[in-house]
Amino acid sequence: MSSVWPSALGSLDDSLALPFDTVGKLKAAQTVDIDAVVQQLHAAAESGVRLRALISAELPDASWQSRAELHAVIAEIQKLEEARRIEQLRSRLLALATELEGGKIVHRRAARVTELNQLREQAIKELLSQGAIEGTPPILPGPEPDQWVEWACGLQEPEDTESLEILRQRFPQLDDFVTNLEPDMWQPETPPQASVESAEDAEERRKALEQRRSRLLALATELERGSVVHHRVLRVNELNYLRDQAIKELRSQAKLPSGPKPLPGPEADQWIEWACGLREPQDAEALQTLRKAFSRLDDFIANLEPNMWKPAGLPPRTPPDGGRPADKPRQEPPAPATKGVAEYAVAAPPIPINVAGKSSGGRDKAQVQVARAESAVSALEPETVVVPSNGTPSRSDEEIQRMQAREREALARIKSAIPETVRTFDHRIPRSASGKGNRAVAPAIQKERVEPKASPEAPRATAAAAAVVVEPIKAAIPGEAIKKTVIVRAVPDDKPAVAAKAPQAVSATQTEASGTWAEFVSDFKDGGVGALLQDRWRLPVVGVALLVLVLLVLGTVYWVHRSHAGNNAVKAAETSVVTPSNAASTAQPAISTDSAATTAAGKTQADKPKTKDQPKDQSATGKPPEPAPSQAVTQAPALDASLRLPAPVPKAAPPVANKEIAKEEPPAPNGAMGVAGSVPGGLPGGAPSSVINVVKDLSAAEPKPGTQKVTVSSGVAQGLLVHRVAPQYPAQAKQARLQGTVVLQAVIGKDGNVTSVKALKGNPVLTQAAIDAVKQWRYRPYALNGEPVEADTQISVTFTPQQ
Amino acid sequence: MIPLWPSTIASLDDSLNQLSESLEKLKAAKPVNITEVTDQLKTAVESARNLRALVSAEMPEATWQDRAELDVLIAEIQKRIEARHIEGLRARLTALAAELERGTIVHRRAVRVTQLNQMRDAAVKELRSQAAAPGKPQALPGPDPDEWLDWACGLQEPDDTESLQTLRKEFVRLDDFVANLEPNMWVVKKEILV
Repeated sequence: MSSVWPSALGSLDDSLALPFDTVGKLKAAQTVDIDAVVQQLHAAAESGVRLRALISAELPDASWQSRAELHAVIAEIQKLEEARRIEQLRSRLLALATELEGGKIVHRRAARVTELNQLREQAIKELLSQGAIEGTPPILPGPEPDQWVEWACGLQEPEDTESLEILRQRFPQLDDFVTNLEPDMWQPETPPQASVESAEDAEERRKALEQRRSRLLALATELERGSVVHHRVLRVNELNYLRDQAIKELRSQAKLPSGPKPLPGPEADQWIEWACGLREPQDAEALQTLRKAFSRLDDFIANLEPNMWKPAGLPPRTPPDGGRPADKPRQEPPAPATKGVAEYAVAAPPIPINVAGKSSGGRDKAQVQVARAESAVSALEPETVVVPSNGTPSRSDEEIQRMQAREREALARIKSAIPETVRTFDHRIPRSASGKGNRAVAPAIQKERVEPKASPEAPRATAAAAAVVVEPIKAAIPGEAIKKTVIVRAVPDDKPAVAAKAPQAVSATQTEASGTWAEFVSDFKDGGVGALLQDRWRLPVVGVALLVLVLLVLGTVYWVHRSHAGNNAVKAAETSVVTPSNAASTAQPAISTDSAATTAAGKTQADKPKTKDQPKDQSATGKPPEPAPSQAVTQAPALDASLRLPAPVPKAAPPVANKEIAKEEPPAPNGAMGVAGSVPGGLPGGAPSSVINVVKDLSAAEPKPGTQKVTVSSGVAQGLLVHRVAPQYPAQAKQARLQGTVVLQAVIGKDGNVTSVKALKGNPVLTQAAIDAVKQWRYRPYALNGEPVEADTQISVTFTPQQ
Repeated sequence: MIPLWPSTIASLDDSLNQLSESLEKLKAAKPVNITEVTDQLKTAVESARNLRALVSAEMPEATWQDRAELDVLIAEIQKRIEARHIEGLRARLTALAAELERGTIVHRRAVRVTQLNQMRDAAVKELRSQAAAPGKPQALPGPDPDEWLDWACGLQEPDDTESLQTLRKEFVRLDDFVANLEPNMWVVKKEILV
């Protein structure tokens, strides 16, 4: 019972004692001290007031009429107080349990720590169980839980016998623990910052949160008002998607009841510029904060270059390369009716890929890889225009076509010339070239690895799969901005994997027997062709010449054979329609753009998300726009042997605009033996930078607007697919566990229907089922200059029994 | 019983009851008007003082400690007062009988005087017997004995019906005497001062 009640009641009763005694005396007509009685009456009245206040504090609605009812009310209050007291006792036990749990035991001996931890666990269990018992838990002596351990460790007999006795009797496990514990062994949990804050602190905190919110909302508005500028619609779409995500993130953070996390950096109008300038390791802290607290915003900024951002109210920043502001690029801009490859290929004025833009380099290694991959992708995409940044004058269509034809021929010869036995090119090719004209061309392009898969049909099928990394060395071509180009391609098993390498490289390999490549090059530099006729080099040179001749012949035969087969489209990337289940053949197949050849080559593209029914209008899907590498590859028939699919693009970091590829494009010097940067051994007058020119060649090969039938890549076709019907897995094939891919050549009509389908390859048992399914597919009409045209494409349908 | 006693005691008890109610409210921590309570206390104190004065008047040396002892004391006083009252009644009857014996009846006719004397003697006897009877005698209405015959001969109906009625019921002989006696027939023999 709380002491306040007896004292209050006692005070009242004491005050009333004399009046009641006076009444008795008066009743007997005795004499009384009336003044004393009146004084007591006043005191009694005050006591009554205090008592009523106490009762009102506990039970504001309580009412009573008599002393007996008053006692009942007080009893009720005392019950409540008792319940509270019990709860406090429980809380105290639980708080001490928590305190014990949060603390740390330190000792020089691990065994002792373990032992003490066990004792602590026992003590915690005891406290918890005591706190959970019904009725009044035992009273824990000592101070508050945060000082309890220290107090308990300081108890000593005989001074503290009473407390120790209570501990032993009521909390034996706890007593055991503190008996074994020395004060310096205990490290209490660091107390949290004082939760009680003054009103001023609370106000300041509220203001700070409000400022954070305002800042986030201001930045969201800034992001919303500005626009992304890039010469590629796809890229703009990607960035816009990322921007939308960042805006959503900022707004959702601003709405958090607990307050948003602090956003590093300056005010909203300068924020993007600041964020784009962040680099590691200098700004690691800010970047880390961004990544952790604002992952979407970080994604956006990581992909954004300063010159891609046009703040609201400001004129668009002119990219150094004359980049086109692509504000609101969700819709494909109309293709200008201009001439030239570049102008034809994109639905916007041609813009050379920016190379002078601020690089995100150094910020994230993965981002560089993404940039590389993007460079490959952008080089292959139909809407890509790759023009040397120095403004090389565009050629006429005929001229370009001629050059491309020559290139194609040369490439084919090279492909055919590579013998099966050539597995790797010499890594000892000097990376630093002198840069003396064409002599530097061969070492400029290094073949990192060529591992053609041996095939019984060699040399035609030199390899089942290959990965070619072409890395022109910037230093090898003075004055060029070529940094790196990574082109990865996988080819089907039945296609030869040919590296786009110069015959010189092959020769270099062959001359390795009699001398090193460096010596050979040195001799060639010093003595020219004559030096190669020395005894030392005569045999290898003649051998190489013969080999080249043989390869040329074989290549020609292969080219003719390939042309007859009508399979001049790219095999690198295929749209695969995979039957989902052999048991339930009616299930929806999964369509992916994964290159089967890539898979066969062991180049997994796990990081690359499979594109499924990706509509052309990326904004409608709500997913970030992704490049369609297979689409690009499809439109590069001449590169089927030399190009590879781009490296997987991590979803988390969408590819940034490739500004580096333009650096690779050298000016087109006139040279009798070809141009610097071209494929070694290229024909005179060949286009500069052979790889890039091949891309341009691909673009040139595209049908122009107004053509009634265009060839689109399987990736593009897949993006247009709006209705697909799963192929029926033939029972016969299922029974025989027959699997494989059927490649179909299909024509998508102007109305989106598949007007014709023919099988290019595949098991005949599976072919018909694939054709039957594909005929029912519906596409969105492919539009060229806003006009629907017929589109020729390839469709791969894969039957896998295990799916 | 003297009327002052009950009223004084009642007044004390009433004021004490009110005071007790207020004190009970205070005991229950209920709000009370302390001024009213004080007034009630003062009234009770006054009533107690009056009561003590009464007691002291009857029994100046009386002492008591509580209400019970006071009640016993008051009962004793009341007994004393009652005894005094009965003695007074008796003395009044005896004094009137003596007054009747001392007077002389005068009338022109001797028979009438004889007749009235007989009636006087019967009334004297009745008064003496009434005064000598145990217990509380009947209260004789009218003034003191020396003025009593004049007062009684002046009674007339219907104005003095109550007194006449009491006389007829309680003192029949005395009523016969005064009914036949005319005021001029009664001559009080003057005592001769020696």
